[in-house]
Amino acid sequence: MRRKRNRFSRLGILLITLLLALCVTGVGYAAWTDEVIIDGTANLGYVDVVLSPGACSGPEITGSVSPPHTLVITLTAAPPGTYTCGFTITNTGTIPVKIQSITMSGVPAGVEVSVLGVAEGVQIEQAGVYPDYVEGMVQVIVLDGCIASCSFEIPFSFVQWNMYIE
Amino acid sequence: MKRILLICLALVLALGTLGVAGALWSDWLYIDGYVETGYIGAEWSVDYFFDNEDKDFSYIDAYGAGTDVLWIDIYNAYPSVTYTVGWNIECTGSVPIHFDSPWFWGDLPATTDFTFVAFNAAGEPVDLYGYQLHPGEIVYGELTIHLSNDAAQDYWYYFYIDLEYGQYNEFP
Repeated sequence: MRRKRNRFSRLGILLITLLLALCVTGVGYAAWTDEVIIDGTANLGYVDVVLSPGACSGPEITGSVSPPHTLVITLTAAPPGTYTCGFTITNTGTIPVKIQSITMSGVPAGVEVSVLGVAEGVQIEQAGVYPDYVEGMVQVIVLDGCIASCSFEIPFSFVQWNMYIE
Repeated sequence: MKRILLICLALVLALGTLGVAGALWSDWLYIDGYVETGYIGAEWSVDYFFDNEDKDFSYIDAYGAGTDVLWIDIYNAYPSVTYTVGWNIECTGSVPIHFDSPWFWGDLPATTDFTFVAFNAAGEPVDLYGYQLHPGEIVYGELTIHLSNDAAQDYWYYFYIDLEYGQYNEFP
């Protein structure tokens, strides 16, 4: 009787041999390759501006800040006349900023408002670099008088120094 | 029986004598050889680094010359500034090398303008994939990063470029 060939064991040996050969080749291949690497980090700065109210000229006028950058001026029983309120803009970020806009909203009739000392486009250097702040003043001229209480807002917007749009 | 023993003894003596004679008339020749294998190697060097700021609020640093890792650090970065590093790779091994395509990884914003280009000695742009560099030769290039407006403030971004190489006749 003819002996039956054990095909499976022969195939198994062939596969194991192939696997070993590939492993050896792999070691050889790995030994002759290497790499060079660029490892980089970008640490971004930040823009951060603090608006602070300053001293006002009398009890008829007060100034406060509505976050983040809106100056709120309130007049109480103010007869016709000129009133002022100071404010400070401080750059607490790491990048210089410019004042992009100064607008006014809710100014009552019979009242004229102007912002002195600062203007759109003024640059404030980054924290720690002189001058990292600017001081301004709101001048309010009351023509008709503000019998009860009236208030208006002056929102400021800031932008990193090189993104200012004229 | 005694005669047989004598014959055997004579035979042994004869064979012994032949053996001595054989030993006297044989010798060895040798081939003594060695194979000294070469090696592959590549190192960075930094040509220049700068940014295009009008003023010096942020800055870039590149270091790691003479090693296989080039470190690039950008400090106080902000959008609209382009940071540039000029780099060289020198083949420091004894066997020419081929490069694979550079592999990039990083968490920079998708809209960041990031370029990594290479040039040959004639100043022509080259594709690094398969580019051959001989021992002592240099390939140079430039990396630029321009952060977009959607980059987060006060954040650390990380990027990584892996450039694999191997012996010229087996890789990539």
